[in-house]
Amino acid sequence: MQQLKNGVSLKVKTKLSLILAAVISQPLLAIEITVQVFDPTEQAVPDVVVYATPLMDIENLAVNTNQLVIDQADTKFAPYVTVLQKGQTIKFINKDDITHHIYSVSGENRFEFKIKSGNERMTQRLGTAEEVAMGCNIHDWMSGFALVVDTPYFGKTNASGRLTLELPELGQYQITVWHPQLETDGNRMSETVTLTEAAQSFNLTLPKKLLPIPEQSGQDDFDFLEEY
Amino acid sequence: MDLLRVRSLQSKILILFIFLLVVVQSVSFYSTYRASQKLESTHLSNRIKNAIDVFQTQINSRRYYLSAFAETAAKDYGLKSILQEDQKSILVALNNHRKRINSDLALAIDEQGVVFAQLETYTNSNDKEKVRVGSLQGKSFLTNRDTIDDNDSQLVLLDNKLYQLSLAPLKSGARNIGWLGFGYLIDEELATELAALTEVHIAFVVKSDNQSQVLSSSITSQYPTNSPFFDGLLDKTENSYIYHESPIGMVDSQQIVTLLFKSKADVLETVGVQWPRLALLVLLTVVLSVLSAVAIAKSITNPIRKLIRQVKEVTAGNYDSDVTVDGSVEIKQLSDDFNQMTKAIVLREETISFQAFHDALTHLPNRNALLNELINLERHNKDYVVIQLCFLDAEHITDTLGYKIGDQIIQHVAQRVTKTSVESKNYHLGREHFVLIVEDQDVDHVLNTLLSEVSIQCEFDNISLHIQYVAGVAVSKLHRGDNPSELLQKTNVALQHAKKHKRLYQVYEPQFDTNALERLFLSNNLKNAIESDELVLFYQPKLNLETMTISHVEALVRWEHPERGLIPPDSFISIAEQTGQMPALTRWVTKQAVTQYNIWQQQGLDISIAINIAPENILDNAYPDFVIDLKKTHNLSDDAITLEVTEDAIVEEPEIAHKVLIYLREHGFKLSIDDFGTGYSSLGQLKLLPVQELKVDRSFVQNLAVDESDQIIVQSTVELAHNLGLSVVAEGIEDETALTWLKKLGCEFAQGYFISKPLPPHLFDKWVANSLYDIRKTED
Repeated sequence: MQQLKNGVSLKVKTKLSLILAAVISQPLLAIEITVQVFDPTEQAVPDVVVYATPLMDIENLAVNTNQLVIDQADTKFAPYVTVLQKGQTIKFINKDDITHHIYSVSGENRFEFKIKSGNERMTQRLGTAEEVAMGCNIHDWMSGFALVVDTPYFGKTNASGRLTLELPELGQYQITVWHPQLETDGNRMSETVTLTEAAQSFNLTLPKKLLPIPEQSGQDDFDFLEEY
Repeated sequence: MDLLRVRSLQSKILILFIFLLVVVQSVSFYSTYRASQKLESTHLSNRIKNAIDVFQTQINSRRYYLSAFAETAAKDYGLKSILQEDQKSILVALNNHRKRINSDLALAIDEQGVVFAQLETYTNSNDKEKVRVGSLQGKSFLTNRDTIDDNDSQLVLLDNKLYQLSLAPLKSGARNIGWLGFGYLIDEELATELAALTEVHIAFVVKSDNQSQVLSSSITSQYPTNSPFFDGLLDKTENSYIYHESPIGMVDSQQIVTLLFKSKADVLETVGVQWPRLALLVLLTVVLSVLSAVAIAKSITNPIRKLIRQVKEVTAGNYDSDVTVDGSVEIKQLSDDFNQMTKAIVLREETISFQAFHDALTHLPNRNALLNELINLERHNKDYVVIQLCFLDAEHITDTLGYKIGDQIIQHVAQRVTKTSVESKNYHLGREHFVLIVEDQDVDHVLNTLLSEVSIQCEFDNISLHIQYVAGVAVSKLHRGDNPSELLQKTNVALQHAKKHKRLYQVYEPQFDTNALERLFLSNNLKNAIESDELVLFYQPKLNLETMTISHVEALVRWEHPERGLIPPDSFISIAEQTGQMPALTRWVTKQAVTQYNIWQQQGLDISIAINIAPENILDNAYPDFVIDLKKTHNLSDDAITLEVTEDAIVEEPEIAHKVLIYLREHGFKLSIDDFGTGYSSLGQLKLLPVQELKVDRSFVQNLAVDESDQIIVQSTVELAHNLGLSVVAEGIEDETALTWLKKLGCEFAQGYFISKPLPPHLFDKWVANSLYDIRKTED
């Protein structure tokens, strides 16, 4: 409790009681927390990965079964940043009219394959919780990231920088924010929280603004490429 | 050369300086010019060399870069594997690699040599660089696949664009499955870039056999690629540019060259000699040098000029100022020497001056000093007495005792003269003549004192001499003339008078020197008189005592002076003798006599004329011939002319006289001895002479009536003459007694005032008409 109080910013404290009041009115079937991420200028930060790692033992930890799909569209990885649970696969769908040659060469979760136009390919199960940095061998400008996490409770903030996670029980969690353009150690920022109520909100403020995402463009050079 | 004509030292130095200056400047200018030329040429070649180096380095570096990348890309599996994919994938992938080195051209060629992917960059209408598929797409890269050299850089000309291209083989394992190539444009951009690096202009040119085409250049904005400007460069006829052609490769059979060029002016702008500054420097040097030359020339010539000025002063007689010059050692030496010379001149001048006014022997003031003193005295209106003192027999003493003794005596006399008690200023005119100027007007007293004191008995070389003096005196009060020297002249006249009359001294009297002046005057005019017929002949008849007829006359010359009237022969004959005018005078007399003879002949009077000829005429070789010619010209009969010769003429040169007289006699002249008895002719001579007549001198005849001794002389002379077969003429008959006596004695002719005085022709004619005596007439 003490830890949680300490971890929550002072600004949030007054609001917290109001939010908790709303959560408490829900049935106690699931615990939801809402995390909102801000940058130092108090702007909400969208499309950052947020995941919660329980710090206590939980029996039969859930396994995320959603298939992660990353498209190659307009010679870009879409989406740019994705997140998946350890042991899952990623499906690549080439929606461009040209062949791509997708690869990730770092870490344990290496893969590499060509995908012709319209085809799709599946990676092997990615067994190591780590960042997967992807590129295209023949289109230098293409880059994408998938974060493999060892927890089923993850997601990306929406346009208003908010993400709601359903958690199985109250207790202590480490809540982590990750983004490849977050210039911190491991590109992430963690905070340990103790959930004491079914619905709680946390505001996380990044120590720095995110760096701009590298330009994902290579097609501009060509005029009338469609002709060919 | 003009330089030699310039006389002034300053100008010479100046001209020399300027000449040297011009030479030095020219040499300096020339060497600067040469060095600058060399520098320029070195700079030009260095610049172009540097440019070539930079250019080559750039081109090579690109080639290496392209080639390395092409090779690397060709070995890239990802790319390699995609090349078998669809067209679009290939193009995008190729472009991806092209972008890695931002090449302007990317080529993928299959093993058949067909280009299956070609990308080229271009700039679209929005000025953005875009990429497109090139024109070779799907076509054979080159006609012959073998010409594709592996991994080689080459030039390709695609769509009139030149690329530097590197191809690298695509391999599957060891199998060659095609080529991958990347290329850069060789265009204006490159030219500009290289131009910026090399600092020369750059143009890329395609050269075929006889045609060159500029593809692009770094100065397209100034000269388009088709500008004629490039023609000059390509023809190598443009001289204001430096240029170099650097071949960079071949396209087909065309050579691609890079033309590096730059205007020489632009290159040299940075290193060029700054001629205006140099010119200014030269001008400054010239001005400074000329000024210093002027200064040097002046420093040399100024002392000389000063010297000249001072020397002129000395020349003008101003010896007082020493010549002092500030100048070089030499000039100072010169001025010192000049001062020495001036002193020497002053000394010498003093000596000369002393000598000019003093007698060398006695050191007494001389005649110049005397004249100055006389002028001085006259100027101060002083009364004084001039005494010319002269010791006698000076010439005789010198002749007998020699000049040494003569000089000693003169010195001795000088001492005596200066030591007398008479207060006088003493002068020595030369030899025995001394002059004293005395203010004491008591002439007799002064002279007596003086003569008594100077008169001495002295001994020289054991010979005792008594020096006697004579003095001429002139008194300023009485005898002052027009100029001071006249007084001296008058003492001279007085002195001569005193000598002549053997007096101790004589005070001048005016009548003493009229004759002297007259002689002077006559000598000057006699010549004119002869020429202007002022002379006339007077004739004195000779009476033939036997027949008592007049048959002969003696011609006597007279001078009818237009101002002085008739001048007697005594006055001018001797002058004529002394002044060498006797030959002319005698010739005139002879001609005149012959003329008169002829006149008388025409009048029927047969009168022979006797002419007096002087000793000079005898000795004058031409006179005998003159008179003989005259006789022949006028066809005169023998004895028409009698030539009367004095004894002197014969005594002086007996042999010549003898010959001449014989010569004359042979030509029909009657010869007569004039003034017989006064000379010293010997009877022996007389006997040998071819003469026919003797004239007894008048001194024996004048007193014949009373003087018995004269009678004896005349009688014996007549007898002697007759014995020798000579006729006798007696001159100076002044009375009838003498005439009668002579006639009785048998003397042939008588001449004298008793018969007639000499008469001019017209009076002679009158006399003839009224004469007591018969006149000999011509026979017809």
